[in-house]
Amino acid sequence: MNTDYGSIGRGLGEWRLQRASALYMGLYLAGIGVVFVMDPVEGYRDWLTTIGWMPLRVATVLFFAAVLVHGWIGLRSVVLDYVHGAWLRGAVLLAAAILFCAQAVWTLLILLAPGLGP
Amino acid sequence: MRCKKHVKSNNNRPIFLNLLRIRLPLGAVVSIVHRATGLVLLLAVPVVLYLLERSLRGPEDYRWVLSILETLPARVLGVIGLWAGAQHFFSGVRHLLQDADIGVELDRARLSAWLVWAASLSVVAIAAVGLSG
Repeated sequence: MNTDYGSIGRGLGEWRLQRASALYMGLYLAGIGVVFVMDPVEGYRDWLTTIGWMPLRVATVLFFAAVLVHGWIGLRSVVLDYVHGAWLRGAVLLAAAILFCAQAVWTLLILLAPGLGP
Repeated sequence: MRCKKHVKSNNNRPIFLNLLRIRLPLGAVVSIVHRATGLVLLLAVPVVLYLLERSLRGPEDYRWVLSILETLPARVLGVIGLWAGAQHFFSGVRHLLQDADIGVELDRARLSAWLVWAASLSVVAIAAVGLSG
């Protein structure tokens, strides 16, 4: 009856990841706010240059990674709370995991595209 | 996988889960809204990614994105998303403070719950005024 489903000890790691990702997202949004207020974008070329600036590109990839990690932890809590039954729960979590991985790949493809930058 | 079968306890306890008839304290409302706004924000992620991708594709796509953002439905969704983000952010800050044992007393917790609502609505109000020019 005491089967270990692999959830032993996960709580603290998830708690930390959720807080860490939240802090990073807060910092990123504050930074982005400063960037766009101090240097508003005027037109497509300007937009390409701004987004293509390497530090911002890297920070943005990290931002979406933080969003997905933070969102996954939250979503998993919600599913575990409200979706019962091993099969249904597993199916929902699997579908969500695939969607999250897809968004991660999509983010990389968007921000690693050649042609960004000045 | 439900653990109920293995629990040899009294399963005749009364259950009353009609949320509409339970008067929830503001902190409980903030908590469930924190969860709900989190889910709403997750739905926004693919939308943001799409707009980002499209805006980088070419000058015409860039203009398309800007024009879409100016439509009424986009503005409404934007306001909702902004409120969800602010609400989630401020209740998150409240969570972090309470993790550090700040504001866990009942009167403090009530006050901070009100502040979370006030701060979120202020952000939306400021943004609405600032962006309606």
